[in-house]
Amino acid sequence: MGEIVLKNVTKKFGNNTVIQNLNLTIKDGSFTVLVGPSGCGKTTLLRMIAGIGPQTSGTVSIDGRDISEVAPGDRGVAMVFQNYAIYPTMSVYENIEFGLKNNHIPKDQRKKLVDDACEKVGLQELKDRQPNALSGGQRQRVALARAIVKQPSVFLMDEPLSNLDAKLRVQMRVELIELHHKLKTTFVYVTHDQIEAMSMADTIVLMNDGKIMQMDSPRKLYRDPDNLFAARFIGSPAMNIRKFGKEEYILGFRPEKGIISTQEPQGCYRTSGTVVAKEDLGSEIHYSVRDMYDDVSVIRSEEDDITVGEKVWIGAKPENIYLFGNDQLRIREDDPRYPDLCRQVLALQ
Amino acid sequence: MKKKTTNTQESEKKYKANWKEKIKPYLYIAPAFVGIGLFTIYPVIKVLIWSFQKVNQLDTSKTKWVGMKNYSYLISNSAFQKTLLNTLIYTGGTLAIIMTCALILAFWLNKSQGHLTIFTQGAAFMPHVISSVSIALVFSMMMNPSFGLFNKVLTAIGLPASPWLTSSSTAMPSVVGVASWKAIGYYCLIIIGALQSISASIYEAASLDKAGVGVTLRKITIPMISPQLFFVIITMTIGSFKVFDTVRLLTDGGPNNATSVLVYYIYKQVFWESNIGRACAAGIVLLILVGILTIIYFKLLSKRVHYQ
Amino acid sequence: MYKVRKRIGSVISVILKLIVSFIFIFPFLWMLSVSLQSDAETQSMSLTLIPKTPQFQNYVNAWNSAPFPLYIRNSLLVIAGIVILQMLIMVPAAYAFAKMEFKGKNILFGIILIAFMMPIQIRFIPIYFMMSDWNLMDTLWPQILPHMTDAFGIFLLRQYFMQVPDELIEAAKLDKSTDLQIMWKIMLPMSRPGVASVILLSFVGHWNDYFWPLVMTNSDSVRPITIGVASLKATEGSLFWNTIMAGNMFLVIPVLIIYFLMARNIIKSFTYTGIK
Repeated sequence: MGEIVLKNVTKKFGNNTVIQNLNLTIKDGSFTVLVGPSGCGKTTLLRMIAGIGPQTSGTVSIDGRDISEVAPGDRGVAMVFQNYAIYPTMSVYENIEFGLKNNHIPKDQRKKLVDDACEKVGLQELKDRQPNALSGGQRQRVALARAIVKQPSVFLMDEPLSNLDAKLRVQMRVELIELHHKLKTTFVYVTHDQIEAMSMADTIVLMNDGKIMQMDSPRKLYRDPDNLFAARFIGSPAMNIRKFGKEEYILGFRPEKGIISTQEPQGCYRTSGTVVAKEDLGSEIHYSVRDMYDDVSVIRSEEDDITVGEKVWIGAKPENIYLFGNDQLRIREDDPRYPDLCRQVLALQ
Repeated sequence: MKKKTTNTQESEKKYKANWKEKIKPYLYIAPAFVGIGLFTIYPVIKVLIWSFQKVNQLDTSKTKWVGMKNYSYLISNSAFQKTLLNTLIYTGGTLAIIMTCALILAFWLNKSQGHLTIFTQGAAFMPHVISSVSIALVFSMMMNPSFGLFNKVLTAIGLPASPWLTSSSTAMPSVVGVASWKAIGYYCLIIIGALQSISASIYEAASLDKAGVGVTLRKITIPMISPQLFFVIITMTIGSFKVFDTVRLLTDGGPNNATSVLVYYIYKQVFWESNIGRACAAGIVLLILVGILTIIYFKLLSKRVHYQ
Repeated sequence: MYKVRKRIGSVISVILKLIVSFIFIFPFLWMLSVSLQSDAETQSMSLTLIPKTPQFQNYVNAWNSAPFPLYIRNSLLVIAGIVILQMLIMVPAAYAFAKMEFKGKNILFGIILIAFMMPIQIRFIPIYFMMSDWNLMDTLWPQILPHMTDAFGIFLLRQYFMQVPDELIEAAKLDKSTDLQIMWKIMLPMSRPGVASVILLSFVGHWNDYFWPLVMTNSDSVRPITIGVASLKATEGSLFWNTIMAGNMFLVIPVLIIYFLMARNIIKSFTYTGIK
């Protein structure tokens, strides 16, 4: 119903090429999150699907139908904007009804659809309110209802939660996931927050600089990154990395899999350093350790007896070490260089 | 015994310091209010009083109260009636021309960017910053029936020449034309400013809602700029009631009072007829008109709540 | 096909913009042209767009036909007087309304706004007699004093002052700054665009002012340039438009120069409506 295919799309702003020959297939019914740092092109991509920022070249299809030249209102997509973009001079009801009116839906059918959408997002009591009398969270629901009422094949969302306070954000996250389960429509969701991406998506499209760095399930992205960028973008605190070898290979391990001890650990990568910071978060403790190469690693541990300034050993077991070439691509076990690099890592100081 | 005195001394000190602090804001705004008292409150009261008097400038003891006499004179006086009518025609004419041109120009120039667009905006605004004196002189010259540019061009392309400012039938339209020309750019840019305050995502949402050009204009754009539109209409109207410079400099109220407007009438009554009472009565009429318009504006403004 | 249509559309757009710009600019161009025409060219029915030999002599004639140095001096002195007086009065008032709490604050501000709406076209009558009674009619004061309280200026400055963070002022107070120092060293520098706006509006507005000087001056010794140029029409008569236009240029050029240098600022200042 709502499979999206972008083929060889390029987007130029004047002489500036932001996206070059990108190919992407978003599965029907998925909750796909486009995530990446500012300027990576995720919002540009979203707007291409919506038709409000059309591609410079290439094609966009929904469900096999080429919509590259089709007007936004005819694509069967709905969008929730970051600043909600609800019409300030219309009531909540009129806001939601607006698109239906323009599509010449008869009045009683409109009423049913609007009431339905309001119920789905909990706006029944606020139908006659003006937008300036609504809170941020309520405005967001109006934007959602306006999208739902269109019964689109694709829901597009551009950082819809970023203007809400932390508590509301978490609550809305759950509601959006529930909505997705209920409607079973394709959701394409843009965010810069990797935690949001990890918690909501069934598929993550990680982007950087106009390119797709990796597209996978959250689990796979976390456990098996394709490149250094993916490894460091996903996971908080970020993966600890260190360069080694003449050819500047990179090794990395996640803070949650790191070892910290006053005794030198055996049979794994280890190095020594001094604890420079200790953050007690209650459920766990984050140690920042500066080693002799002046790199700082963060280790998550449940051990409490280590103090700041103490000399410690940090390290990681071989199965928790990730290796990357100086081209930033991941070196996996099937790579010929793998065994030798492992030996080098274990021999490091 | 000693403690008590110290406490009192301390609280006295505090009281004095507090007193100084409390007085400060009033001191800071005092000069401004001196100005308002002297040059606004006092004059307005004086005008009100004089409007009910027959004022003798040379011997103030001979000034006497005449009640509504000045007002009843004005109401029945055909010259004053013509003046009011002229003022209304001027106001209506400029309002219609300026609003139409400014709106069209604003929507058109708002759509595009680039240097030429900005240049055009700057060009349109230029007449507003130039003195009415300069503009009136240039247009007087161009509208000169014998040597003026306008008639030179008209006759060159085979059209009949116009008497422009020299005939009572064409004088007011000419004045309205010049005044409109001067003001269009100013109001156009205000409207452009209003249009640009509308976030682009609203229009994007509207396009996703399949809203056509007409619907977007009627239901989104115009309602969203309505505060500025009200402002423009009211400011323009009030300003038109107060017009003087352009009229004085282009036609001196003529020919035959064809362009005599309210403020011009007041001016003549003061400096030519030396009838202060009557001038003040006319002034109060002006004040009432301006007051009514201002109240209408604020009433309309409070209805349309601030949404952004 | 679509690209061709787009191209034609943009050409038409360019032409239209040039036409519109021309409509608003040509009187000034014509003014320049006439100011350089010879008497014969001005008085004939033929269209001389570019005069055969530019007659700069017209400017000399215009300059000599009336005491222009005096007029310009008067204009500048009046403007300087107004700006200085207004700054002295407006800054403390705006500061008080923006950053201080006191009883009756809103009512007092409301009075200022209401006073703002009282037209000068009626206030001038008593003020004229006031100035006359105080024997000020041969001085520049009648053109300066009545403008001492500029409500719009107070309103504008107050808006800018309100945006200066309170913490800065509190920090200054902890440093034992006097209010004068706070106004001078913090509020004004941080509100530079607002102050510049006010001064710009004042300068252009009073340079161009016609009605007030007309009413408040009786003799050449205090007349500003607007009155001087306006009277050119009477002194020169309608045969010598070239000289009149040359004189007109004296009035127009300073503002045009400022406008070319600061168009964006000027437009921003002039079109401030207070509506966000």
